Amino acid sequence: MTLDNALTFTPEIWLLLGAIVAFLVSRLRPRAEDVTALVGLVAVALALAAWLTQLRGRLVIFDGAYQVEGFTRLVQAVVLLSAAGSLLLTLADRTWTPAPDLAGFLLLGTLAAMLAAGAAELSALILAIALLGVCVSVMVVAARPASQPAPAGVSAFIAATLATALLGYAFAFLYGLTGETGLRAAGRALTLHGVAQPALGVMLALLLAGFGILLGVVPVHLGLPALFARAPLPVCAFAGSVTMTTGLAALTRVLASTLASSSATGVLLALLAAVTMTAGNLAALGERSLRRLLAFLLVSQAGYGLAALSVMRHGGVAAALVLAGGVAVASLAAVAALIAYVHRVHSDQVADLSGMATYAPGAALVLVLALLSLGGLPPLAGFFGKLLVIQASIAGGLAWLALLAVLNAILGTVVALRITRAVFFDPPVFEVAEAPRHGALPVALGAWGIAVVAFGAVIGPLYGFALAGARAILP
Amino acid sequence: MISVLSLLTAAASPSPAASPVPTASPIPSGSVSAIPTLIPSTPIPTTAPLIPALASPQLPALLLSGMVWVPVIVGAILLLVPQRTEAERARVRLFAIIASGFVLVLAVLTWYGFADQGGSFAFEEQRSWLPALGSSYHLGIDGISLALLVLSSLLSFCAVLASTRVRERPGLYFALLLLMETGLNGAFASLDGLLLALFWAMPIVSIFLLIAGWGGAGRKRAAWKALAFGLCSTGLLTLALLITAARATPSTLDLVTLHQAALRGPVVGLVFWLSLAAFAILLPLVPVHTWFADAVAEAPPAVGAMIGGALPALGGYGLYRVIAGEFAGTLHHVRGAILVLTLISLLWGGISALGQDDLARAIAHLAMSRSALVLLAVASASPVALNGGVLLMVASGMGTALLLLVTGMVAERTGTRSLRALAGLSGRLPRAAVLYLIGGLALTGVPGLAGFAGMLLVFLGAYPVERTATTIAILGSLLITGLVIWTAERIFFGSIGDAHLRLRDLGTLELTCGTILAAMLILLGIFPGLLVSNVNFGILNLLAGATG
Repeated sequence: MTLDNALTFTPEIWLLLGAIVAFLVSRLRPRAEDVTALVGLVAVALALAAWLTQLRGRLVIFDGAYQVEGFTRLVQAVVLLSAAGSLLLTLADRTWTPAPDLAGFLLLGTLAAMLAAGAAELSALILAIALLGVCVSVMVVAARPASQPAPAGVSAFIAATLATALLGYAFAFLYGLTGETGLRAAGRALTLHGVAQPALGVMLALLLAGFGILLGVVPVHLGLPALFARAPLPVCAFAGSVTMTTGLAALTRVLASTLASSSATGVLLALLAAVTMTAGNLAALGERSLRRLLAFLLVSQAGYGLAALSVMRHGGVAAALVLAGGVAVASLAAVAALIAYVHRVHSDQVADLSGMATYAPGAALVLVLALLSLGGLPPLAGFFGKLLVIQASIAGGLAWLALLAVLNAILGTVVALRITRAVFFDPPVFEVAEAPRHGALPVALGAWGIAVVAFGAVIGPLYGFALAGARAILP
Repeated sequence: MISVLSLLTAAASPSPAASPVPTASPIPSGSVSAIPTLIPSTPIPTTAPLIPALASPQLPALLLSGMVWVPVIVGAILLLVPQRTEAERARVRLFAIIASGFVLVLAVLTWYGFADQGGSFAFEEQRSWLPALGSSYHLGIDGISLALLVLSSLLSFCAVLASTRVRERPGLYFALLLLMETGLNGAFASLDGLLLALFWAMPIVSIFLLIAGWGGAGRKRAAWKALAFGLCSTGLLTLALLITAARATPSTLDLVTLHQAALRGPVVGLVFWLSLAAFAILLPLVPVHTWFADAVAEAPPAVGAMIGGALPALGGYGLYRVIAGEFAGTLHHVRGAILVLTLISLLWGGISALGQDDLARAIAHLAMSRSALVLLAVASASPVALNGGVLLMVASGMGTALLLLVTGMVAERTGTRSLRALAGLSGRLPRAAVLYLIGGLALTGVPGLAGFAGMLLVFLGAYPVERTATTIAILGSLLITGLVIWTAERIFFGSIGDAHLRLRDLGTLELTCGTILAAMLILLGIFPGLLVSNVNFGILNLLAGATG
């Protein structure tokens, strides 16, 4: 390993150092959750600065196991910004049991996501995803709300382990079929030698099941609503932004490197996408808990992501990247607003949202904007990803999928407008008392609210980066 | 009448005074092939602006952006302004009036500085936005969009002015009204498909929230219905645009480039019907009209006026820009079906209006019936009828808005909109009676008011192409005339009920708001050329490229 190679990992090194400092501080001062969160923010800021110094060229190290090109850089940027947002929310959220360790695990999770973004080899990828899953489940346990017992963390841990195991089997199959651990090399071997279709089918099923648990793809989507229902809200923000982005990016890289030309894979993904986005939106339409509603909206986003991957050769990869960015921004904004709401009302029921605009107008506006954005209303952040997915579907000849995506965007908007009506027009169901809030909450609300609205202003350059990223990973 | 005749001449050929092509001859109606020769390759200044400083090149380059973005920016600020005391609420109203007034001034400046562009677009702004998708921030107007831009700015100003009695959450109310203005102005000024779709969704969301938040007793159902139809319209439009962009060569979402690109194959029919369905919802046409009357009736009066006046214009604009502009070939093939659709909507609107007891619903059906004439103009593909269609959109937009505003003012005083309960109000509300008559007569097409020239041109242009359909349409329009006269007679004349003896007439703000619209209806009735003298080049340009 040369010095240059080591410097490639500067952002990750900052995150690791931050995690170490956060753990040390939390051991020395047991109630120092604000300090560790600030340490985390500084570490992410330093990582972001280091990331900025590495914007040129393509770095391939460890025999191609780790690659830093346009794709990796874009995913890493989304991951770092999302991690910063989640850390800001750990400062702002006072509904959970103070846990100074949380920031450390969040940094480790971010580190895992950064590595997963660049991993181009099976073992590196599975390690990164395993670490990410473990960190999320530990965060659930470490910072559970006072009223919640540990099983929330246990179920998150089981889901993460199951996902890792399924991915492990899928990767083992891929290695067995091709004799290669590098994704590119495995893809080349698949094309050159051809393999037994049933074996490839099993590998694909395992792969989609593993990533499906992480992303919330139907029929293995129920882990996500369960996590959102019981996990501390900053962890939900992390799962909705960092885990979603990483999962989608890793799945994109695996499929683009190995099965980009397989039309059968495209059809399977399109079918899964159709079911997932529709089921997610329909479930959200009838959902009574705002937390689970948000999770089901994220399930439908995973559906759009799969739709993008089903037409990878026609602009789908870039669409998936833009989609992931929009979803991350909207999730963070939604969770920030949810924190403001739960903080005041101590409930996450949709029925109790009535009149939220009267006692928390800013949070109400951000909540509505974030949900509308996840629904797919133009011109908010979530719209552009969906637009690109629809465009890619048309270009890829899947007009039915494009039509279904449009219908789902309408359905998603209806879900969000149902909440909008309750928030702005229904009278409050009870008196809501003033409650002291952390200064980070308005900052988070403002920052992510503006990001949801202003996403369209930067969509041009962002899509340019996404296209460059797509070119970097498509063989 | 002279002005109408001169307009007829102008519609048939570019003005000789303006054009260096002295040999230009009148275009045979419906003859698309003759049109390209009439379009000069270079822009021609037709009329010298009265004040040189206001000529289009000197106007600020951000004029259109100003008209589009000022309302929503002010709206966002209004959300943050405190509204606890009456003085603070009054300040919110004042800000909203100033913002929409400012946009109206910009619209007047745009109209004043607009020189006939000879088929090109004026006040163009283009900035890179999403180059990889072939989409850019591209604004610009031709005569057609100019007329509708002036209409939407005027209606928005009047709607804000008429909303001064809103006490509940005024900041949010005006923010949504201004968001609607941004959406409408943006849609009329967009020269990019993606921008058009983005702006298209804005009025729909604001209408939903405005009806849900400030509407009448049946607001819940009306709001959801309007939302469902509106979002379907947005979705269909987006899909049609994306398919067009994917299949056209070069692949782009720029409407100017797409206008020149040829779309071939079975996809043409698909895109045609998708976009027609999207526009039919807003126009509205049978069978996708059911949301319209509900929305107009349940919305607060000023919002109802915006829905009844401006949304059909938005649908009509789509018909012009996309259906007439891009799909003349397909339109020609399916003209029979379109005409049947037109006549059903026209007659259905008129007949259902007769059966209504709620005055606002009756007016909504009238507006629907009027909008069907715009489709007749588009189906005929005759330049004369298309010129008339633009004037008709503007006239019926203002007429419908005026009727709905007056209805709102009457309902506020009497507590009812029921035609059975209202009678003999002219003695108590003479100002309202005069305004109602002007609006109603403008809608029926009485000479001297704005609707006349529009209807005349539509019928004159469409008749040589479609004699039977036009004849039925003319007869159907008589229904409207009868209905307007009947409602006016019923509400304002006859003996007044005891309950209505102590009504007070319209106040200064209400009168101002109504007078502005009434004055415009009269002004455009006498000088229709004021607004539509520039439309002709836009229409010739549309038809020239229509190949699909």
